[in-house]
Amino acid sequence: MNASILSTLGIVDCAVLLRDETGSFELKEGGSDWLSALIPNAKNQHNFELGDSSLFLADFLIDANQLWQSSDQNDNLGSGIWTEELPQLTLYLEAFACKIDGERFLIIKNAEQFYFERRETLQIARELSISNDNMVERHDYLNERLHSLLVDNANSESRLPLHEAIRSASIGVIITDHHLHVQDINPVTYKIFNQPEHQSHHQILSDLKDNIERQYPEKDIFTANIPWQGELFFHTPHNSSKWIKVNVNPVVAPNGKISNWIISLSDQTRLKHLLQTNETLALHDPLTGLPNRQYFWQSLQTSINDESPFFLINIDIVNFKNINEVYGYLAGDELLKQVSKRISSELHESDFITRFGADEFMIVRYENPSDLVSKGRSFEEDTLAIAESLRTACEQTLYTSDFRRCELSVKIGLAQYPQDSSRAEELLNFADLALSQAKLKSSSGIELFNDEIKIASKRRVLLGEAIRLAIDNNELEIYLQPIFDMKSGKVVKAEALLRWKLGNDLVMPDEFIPVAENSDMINVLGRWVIARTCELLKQLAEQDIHIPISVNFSPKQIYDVNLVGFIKTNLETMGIDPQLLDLEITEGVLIKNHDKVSAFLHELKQIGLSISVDDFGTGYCSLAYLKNLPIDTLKIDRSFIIDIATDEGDHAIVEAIIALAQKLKLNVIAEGIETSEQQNMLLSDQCQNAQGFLYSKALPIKDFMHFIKH
Amino acid sequence: MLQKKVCILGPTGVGKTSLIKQYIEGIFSEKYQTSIGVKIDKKLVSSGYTPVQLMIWDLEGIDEYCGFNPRYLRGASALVFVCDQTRFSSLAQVMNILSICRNHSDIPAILVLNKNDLVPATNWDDAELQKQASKFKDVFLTSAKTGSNVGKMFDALANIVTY
Repeated sequence: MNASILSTLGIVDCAVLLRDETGSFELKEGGSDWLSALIPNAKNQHNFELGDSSLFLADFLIDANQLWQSSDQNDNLGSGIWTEELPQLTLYLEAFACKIDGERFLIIKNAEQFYFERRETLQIARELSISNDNMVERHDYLNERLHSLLVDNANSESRLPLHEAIRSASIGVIITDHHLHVQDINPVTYKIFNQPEHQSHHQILSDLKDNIERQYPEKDIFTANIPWQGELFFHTPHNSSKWIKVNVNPVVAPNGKISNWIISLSDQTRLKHLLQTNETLALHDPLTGLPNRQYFWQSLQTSINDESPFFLINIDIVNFKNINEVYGYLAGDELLKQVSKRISSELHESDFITRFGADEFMIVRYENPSDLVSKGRSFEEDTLAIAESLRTACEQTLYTSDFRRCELSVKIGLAQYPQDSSRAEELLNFADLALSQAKLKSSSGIELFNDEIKIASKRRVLLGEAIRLAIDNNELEIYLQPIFDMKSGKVVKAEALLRWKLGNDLVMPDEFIPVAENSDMINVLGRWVIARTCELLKQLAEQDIHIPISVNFSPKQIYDVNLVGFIKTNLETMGIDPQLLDLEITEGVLIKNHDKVSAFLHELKQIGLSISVDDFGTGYCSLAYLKNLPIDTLKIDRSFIIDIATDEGDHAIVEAIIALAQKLKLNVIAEGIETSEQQNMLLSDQCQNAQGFLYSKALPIKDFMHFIKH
Repeated sequence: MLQKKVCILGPTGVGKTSLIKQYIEGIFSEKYQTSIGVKIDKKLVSSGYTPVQLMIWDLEGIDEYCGFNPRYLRGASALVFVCDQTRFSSLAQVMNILSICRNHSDIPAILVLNKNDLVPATNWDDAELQKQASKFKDVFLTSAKTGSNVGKMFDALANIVTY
């Protein structure tokens, strides 16, 4: 091995040792003083042993020997950096074992320069990361605490506990009413804005709002009533400037209306200063090495100024939060790196890719006329084809470092410059809307922005506003769909299904539930459904009808604090036997937040409710959950019932679910039965209960009572 | 002389190197200095069942900049997982690292909640800690700054590896 090869490999200050058959070493290249300090015999003996000269090196030689004994003629292995503390000398070293044309080499490199460069960079990065973790934890904790204080003390005249909590907080807090009138503000807030405490708080809030609107024009926080967090850059008097981290959280009262806003603030100027000392860190995402959000905005504006056509491609990994929960954050980060590499490998060098959010990538894809001519495609066709290949690449199986398999799903939204817009914020907003549409409806998972998407988005905004008034305006109604014993034909249960009459429009749950889930209204709706179902149970009891009613449970309701207490109070107030109320949860709920869900279900079970698993068979539920959780009923998803008579696979799954339920002593309900053929198959499979249009659709309460009696 | 390898693991900035420095040299530096790579220190412990030379592998904090290298666990007799009680998220990170380690090794592990001289994080959840504690042979509250429980923790470690 000659010095020029080592130099080409970037290994400059190093020692090259040749290992012979007996395990001894011979120094072939290098021989600085540090080597003599590390291995005293290296320079004066032709053949020498490494012995106990270094514990780390001795350990590395175990792996090196394996490599040297392998049949591969050209292979190599690195040790990673280690620190060797010698008397009066500290060495920073890295070792490599390699095999070149059958000869075995051990290269020991003096990595001092690399060590200090890496430490300098990582010192900044890690200080930032720790400070950021601390800050996020403080914001989250304070927001959670204030939120519960505001909800719990909503009817209390004294605001003392709240005032005390924010006064002692180490970050800035502003509490407003729903009109954004300041109700309380703490001393830290004044300090952040360099203002004396007697200064008008209206001015502080107004400056804050103006800056949010100016610096995040694509967000519509205070009218969309959504939680938001971000960073704001402030010019303050005396030519100083500040970076402030801001969290804005709406507080939704039990009546579904926004009662307050909690705004928390912390000064990030020092962090930003550290960040700006390293340009790479400032404009790149440290995890993937891709340009970050700030870099993206600069690049997008430059692209618009160039006036060349381009597409904006917005890629979102669906439910990546769950991946972090299931596999852990380290594995999650690793998967993100792999995804970013896969995306990059599908793109041209001229395309600009950025990690735009935690699990969101944004690509600016430029028109390449000669490439399009050779492919015989239009720019739009070509970009859609690329979007398809991006989706395929991202959705191919990934593996964590410990070989756990992981499947991701991605959704993609596209908008085009200049056709859709020539304004950066609007273009981004349109790509975002296309992405939302892809998440909601698209079977391919890819959507190109168009006018229909714009209209659909407007409708979602309208529904989002209207749903807040739906309860007060008596627009909601519960319909009951009967569930039958298949053998006797008797109604044994019913499922409560929510209907919303908005003017002349009947809005179905699959349209308004996602809207409610995105606007924090889901807990209000969920509680209303439970309260109303208890009333219906009472009405039925008065007519001597004693059958259980099941209500659907949204995954988001798991975060509704004191929901169990609410259910208990309603049952007691109405004098209802708790066994008559059944909660339907989907498999997805069981998998996510397993510990929290388990505690919640056990609490419900304790007060006497029964639990059904809805859409069973579609959510990859671990069978262990069925054994360990207090579940009473499995509802076989309608997708297996539709083709049960013609598809052997579907039939086999249904048979297996019924057998499983029988073994675990659980009830089974088949959903979505529409034909007598399906009914007969299920009867022969010993399915106990059935629900579907063949028997009855969902009925208003009066019709339901009539149906039961006759 | 009996020699035993132990590895100190955990997220960045929890005080792994400071604990070792306090134990070996009895000193503490307020300035956070990130570790790079691996450093091995030795210490003779005579207080336990039998005298043992601990070879303490101080591993770089595991985060987005530095992954986990299972090779470093080879030959270890015990693992020490360090978290920072002023950062609740560090406990979750430790549990994550533990679960990765468990794919490679089932040797005894102890949990160290360091920075006990500081006020715990406001969101620190003792119930969560209790839940996770059963996955460790022992749990220690330490302060690398004051030295509180540091010697006790390493003595217990020596007992674990010689038992």
